Amino acid sequence: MKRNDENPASASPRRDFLKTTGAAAAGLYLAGAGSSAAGQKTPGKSETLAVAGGSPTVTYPKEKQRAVFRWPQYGQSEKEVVRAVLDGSQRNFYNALARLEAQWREYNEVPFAKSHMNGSSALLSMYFALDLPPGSEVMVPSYTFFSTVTSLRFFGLVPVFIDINPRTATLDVEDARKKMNPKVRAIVPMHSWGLPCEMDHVCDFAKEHDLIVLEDAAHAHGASMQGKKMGTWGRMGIFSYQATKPLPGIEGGMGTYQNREDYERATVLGHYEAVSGNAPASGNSGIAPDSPYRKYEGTGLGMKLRMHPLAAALILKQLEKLDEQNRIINSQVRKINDRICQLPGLSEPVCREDQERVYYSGNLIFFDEAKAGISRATAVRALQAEGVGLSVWEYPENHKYALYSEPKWWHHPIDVPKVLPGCEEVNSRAINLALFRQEAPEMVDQYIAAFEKVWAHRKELA
Amino acid sequence: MRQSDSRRNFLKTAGATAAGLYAAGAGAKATAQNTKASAPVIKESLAINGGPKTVTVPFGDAAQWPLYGPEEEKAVLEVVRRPGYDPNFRLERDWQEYYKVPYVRAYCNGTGALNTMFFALNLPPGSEIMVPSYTFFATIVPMRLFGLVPVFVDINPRTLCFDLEDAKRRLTKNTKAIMPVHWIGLPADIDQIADWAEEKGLILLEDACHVHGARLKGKLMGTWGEMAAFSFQATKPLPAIEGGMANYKQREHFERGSTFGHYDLPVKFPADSKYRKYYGCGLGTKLRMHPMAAALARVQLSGLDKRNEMITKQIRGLNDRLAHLPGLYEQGNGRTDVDRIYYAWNMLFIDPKEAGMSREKCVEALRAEGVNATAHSYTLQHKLALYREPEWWHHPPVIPELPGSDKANATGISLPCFSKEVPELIDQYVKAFEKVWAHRDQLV
Ligand SMILES: Cc1ncc(COP(=O)(O)O)c(C=O)c1O
Ligand SMILES: Cc1ncc(COP(=O)(O)O)c(C=O)c1O
Repeated sequence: MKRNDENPASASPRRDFLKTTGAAAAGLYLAGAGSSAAGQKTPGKSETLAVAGGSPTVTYPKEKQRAVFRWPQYGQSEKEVVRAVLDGSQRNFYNALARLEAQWREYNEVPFAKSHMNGSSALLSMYFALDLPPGSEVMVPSYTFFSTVTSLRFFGLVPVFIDINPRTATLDVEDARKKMNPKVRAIVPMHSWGLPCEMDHVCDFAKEHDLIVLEDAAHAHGASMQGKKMGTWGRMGIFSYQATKPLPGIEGGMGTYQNREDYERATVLGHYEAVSGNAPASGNSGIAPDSPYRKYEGTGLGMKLRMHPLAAALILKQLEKLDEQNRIINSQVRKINDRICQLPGLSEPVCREDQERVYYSGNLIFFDEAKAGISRATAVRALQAEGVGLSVWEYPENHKYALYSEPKWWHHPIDVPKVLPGCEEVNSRAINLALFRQEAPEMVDQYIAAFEKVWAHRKELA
Repeated sequence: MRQSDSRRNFLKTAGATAAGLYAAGAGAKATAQNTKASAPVIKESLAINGGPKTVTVPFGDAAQWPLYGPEEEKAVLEVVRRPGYDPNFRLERDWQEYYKVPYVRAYCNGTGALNTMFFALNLPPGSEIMVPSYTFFATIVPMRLFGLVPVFVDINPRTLCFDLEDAKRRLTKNTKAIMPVHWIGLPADIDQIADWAEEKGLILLEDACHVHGARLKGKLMGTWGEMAAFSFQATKPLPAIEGGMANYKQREHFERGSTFGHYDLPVKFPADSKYRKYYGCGLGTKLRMHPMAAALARVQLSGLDKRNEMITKQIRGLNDRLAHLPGLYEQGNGRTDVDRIYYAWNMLFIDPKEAGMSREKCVEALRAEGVNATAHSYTLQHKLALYREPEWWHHPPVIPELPGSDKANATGISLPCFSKEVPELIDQYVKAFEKVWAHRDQLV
């Protein structure tokens, strides 16, 4: 999905829209003047808002809506692969793991991949592979899942909390620049809800300061930038296959590695069995016979982070459908966002033309109360009453957790930032619009109509 | 199912005529006085010397594991239909009901459970924990992540379990805890170990990864120690392909351990918990069991005792009929207050002097007869590179001599653990053993 919205709040996407779409009604709403639309058959205007006792706009049957929202979209084929694992016809449960690793390498065009129990254990293994002296610091966004940060603890590494860019919700390189210090050795951009971080900028910055680039691609299966898959830009990357993720195995994870040394070290922490496996001459599973880690056969280094084979079966099946599933979700989002982001006060995260994003969990929409003329809470309530699946967007800022202010858990105390304005801005401004996981043109139209109706009446709500 | 004690018991209770004869080592005499059925076995020469193979029943799925059926399939497909984490909590409820311990927590695997136990101990770095070397890495290696150091203890070569007398010799001033492993279903002498631990002020832990449903003095293994770990890996007595569980007696251990592996659960702790504030970030990583594994484990738990009983019946059916062979022993401690289970292998030991043949010759001859026997040796942890490299440890672990462990590895013969009723196979196994023993003078 290519977008060229350097600034989503600017007129450019609106201009595009006005050129291409029958936008008479939209234009009227954009003007913010409900009255001028009175004479025309505009959706919603003549009706009372549902929140004020009118009838809801979204009338698509609830049962069918649930099917559209449902995630994961497992069906008959997933049941079949699971049944095949259980019926005993597969003599070695664990063969599926090597198969998945091979397919993941191929799909992402990356030389090495190792399956792990979940994304968190892939992170743990990745940080172990870094092999940095204790006390080294690693830049992470505060706006991420806990394990991007807590896993550092195991190896005496200390996080530096970086803000996010409020227009993308991804790591803010400018803030990283401000927080650069000589202890920092690595940086971990996270591709938030499927939107690639601007990896060219991250890589330039990292090069300047000789930092190792790692990626938390837990949200970004199939996303790419400049034709290169997310998770393959950094020296190492991780994915999560947890139930909510774009490629769900209920629980599961994967690490991607550019070089054998990292791959082997990441493997030895939690895969005692792989240490003794034979590495095929040209393949990339197992540990090479001459590897320095070979001697840890029988012990590994302290954890067992093997993916559940039933998860692998699900993931292999879902991988076949990943691109098509991403396409469906994207096309539904585009249809909705292209219209609702014309409304005053609504915009979406900036996705560059050279980025192919995916959507994970929700459709993040920024809400500018001043421009909209109503509060976020009011709008959300009114939209919910119209039958729109959405909520106020909330996501934890990790730096606020007690764990990071208690020095006893860390090699040295963390310089916890007082505020990260980018994180606060997103949390105070964003709404979370439900993703449609199936083609649902009628529902798309009703969602758009509901937004336009609420906007047309928003003076009454103010 | 009580384990029949020893050869002595057997001779009292079983029809041991033939046994006595073979034990006397006089094949010829045996032939003359023996029943019609077993006579040809003795006449025929060993398969290894060109005679006919004794075991002709195809092995098939006699030791198939896990045993999953329609109920397991239904439970797992329900998770595919409606993915969510409820199965984990339901499993914990059923598990707690079965074990009746104050706290239980499901984890991704047994190693994960052990990780949380070491973290829960909250011991000063450099503290030491007594463990057998004859075990899977997971009993030991995770402790290094918490600055803990193993003290390797020997096993009794006939029980494959913790040797308390050896532990007494190896006690150090840094020793803070002790963790016996109940090896392949046989309870360690945990009552005696518990008494000694109490006397010395050591925390008792259990690696109960092989021993689901076994008891000592009527008390379930995994409920003796302050904490215990279970594995649900595919080969285990309660298989969920991958999965694990920890039992905790104390709230502190439970909350601290849970917080290490579950960022999302501290919110459920009581308001006065000191771990509640780590809700959202946890203190370690994410060690959640796969809910499909939990669904499997739950169904398997409901059939655990029955399966254990059935397997025990097969093993007893075989071993009781081998007990008369001189120089052949089975894994056991001779205690009558033990309800053991069997898992992975049926472990026998040979005393080459008493048997009059070497283990290698014996195994070779048995295999030629069609018995799936293996000269069994298990990796001893203390001999591996990791423990000799100080960089991984708070201080280097002592690398001891462990003669009991070595002896177990020099004398063990493993047979398959039959997982279904196989009376004919057992008959033929018995005949094959008797034949090999009858001709053992040819194997010198
Ligand atoms: C950004 C991010 N990183 C890592 C993870 C960890 O994945 P898992 O839940 O599979 O351990 C997640 C999952 O929630 C995530 O959102
Ligand atoms: C004695 C022992 N402890 C711990 C474990 C670890 O269990 P898991 O494989 O579930 O991590 C095993 C399993 O192989 C084991 O045999």
